[in-house]
Amino acid sequence: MSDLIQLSEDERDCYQEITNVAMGQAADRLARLLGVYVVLPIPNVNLIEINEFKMTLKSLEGNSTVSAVCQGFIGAGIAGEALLIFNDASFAEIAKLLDYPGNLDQHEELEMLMDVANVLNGACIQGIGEQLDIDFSQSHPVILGQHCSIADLLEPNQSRWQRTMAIEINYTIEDHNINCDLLLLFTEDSVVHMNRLISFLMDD
Amino acid sequence: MTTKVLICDDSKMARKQMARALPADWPVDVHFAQDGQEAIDLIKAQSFDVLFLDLTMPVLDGYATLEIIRQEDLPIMVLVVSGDIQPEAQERVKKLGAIDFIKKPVDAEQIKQVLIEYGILRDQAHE
Amino acid sequence: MSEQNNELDQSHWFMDILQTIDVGLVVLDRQYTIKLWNGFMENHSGVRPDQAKGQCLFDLFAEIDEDWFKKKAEAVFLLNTRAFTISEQRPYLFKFKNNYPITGRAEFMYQNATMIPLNSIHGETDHICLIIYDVTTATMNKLDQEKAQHDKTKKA
Repeated sequence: MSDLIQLSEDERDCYQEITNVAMGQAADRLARLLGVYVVLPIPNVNLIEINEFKMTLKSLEGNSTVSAVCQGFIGAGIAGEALLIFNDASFAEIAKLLDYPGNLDQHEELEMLMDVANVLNGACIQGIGEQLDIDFSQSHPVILGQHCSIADLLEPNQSRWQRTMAIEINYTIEDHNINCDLLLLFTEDSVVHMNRLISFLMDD
Repeated sequence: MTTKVLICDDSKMARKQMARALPADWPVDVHFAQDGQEAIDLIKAQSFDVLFLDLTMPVLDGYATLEIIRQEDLPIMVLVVSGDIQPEAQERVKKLGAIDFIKKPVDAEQIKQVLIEYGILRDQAHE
Repeated sequence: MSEQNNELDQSHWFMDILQTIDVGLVVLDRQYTIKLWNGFMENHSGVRPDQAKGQCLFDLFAEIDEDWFKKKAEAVFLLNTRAFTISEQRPYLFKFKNNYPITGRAEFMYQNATMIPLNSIHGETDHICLIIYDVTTATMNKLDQEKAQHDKTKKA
């Protein structure tokens, strides 16, 4: 049994604060894009096992189907993915805000999904990079699924990992029925590197 | 003359960063609060000159804290320090009586300029 | 005056683009010493430019088959012609992790590579540029299709 890393309270607090700033930047861009006010929660930072991860995803599903986009990022020994999960009920609302006409077809929904993902994923990843002084490489976004269940998202994967540090951010838009979850997922190796980087932020 | 400063943020890291960003030569007496309620209690118990206030906090958030300060006419200058930089957030806090909005991550030079601008810190260079 | 500024701007833009672009760029001299190492290479290998430059490629990356690589590269140096390798020949040149460590299925990054000749002012090819492309998604799709085909014929 390998030595499992743990997150100290200080480390958790640090990641929460770093994410807080990064998601503030992301929300700002989304707010400008849609002309709305984005409600920012306190991000949830946790080291979780693969099973807990699947459960977290299931809990985000609710009653409706979802669409998900993910984007990998890497730099300075840190690697992970930004997974944006959209409640399908939100599409119509966002369409209104973006002035898309009438009923959306799958293609237009995809466009919108990409527009929002670019803004949220990009700003979060770069925002975290800025604070840690890392210039992350971002890979192309991948559509994990459109109008599917969470189970569909993960089923084909034989996981090569046991644990991940998951930072969960739930964005809601005031006065509109728009809801999406951004999960920042870091590999276990990355956490070791990040802990070292943030130690200077925590030092007195 | 020592300025009494209160830094209110639920993040220990953010409180440290804020304290470190204050001008080195500024004579201050710095205190900390973990959420809006603690800040209000401290302000009522002892008088403070300046409050650096975060927005996203549990128990009592920044907006609610500003409301209370305004309603009860508590004598204190409030500078909001937040990662939530969207246009509406900045507007809302100014409407609620904050004198300015400082974006996180905080920068020492920026803090100094804001303090000088509002006459909280004397600009030594121009004396 | 403004034309000079324009050129400076362009150089600056090119530098930025080469650093951020999502392909790997490595420049090697005749001795296979690394002369240029862009952001993609840095981020995926964990080796910084100051660590990579001046080192022999094969010293830093043991996974690269030296004989095979040199054979390909020599052709580029001597004939001033481009060379290509595809992931079907070799899955990768550099062993990099999959860009999707959490949701991805591939164990590593599948790569295509191009070698282009870089000429000196005198016209000889004294350097080559190695361009690394991430083709993991396409490769996985292909493997999936092949597997589906294989399963189909097995059932028949």
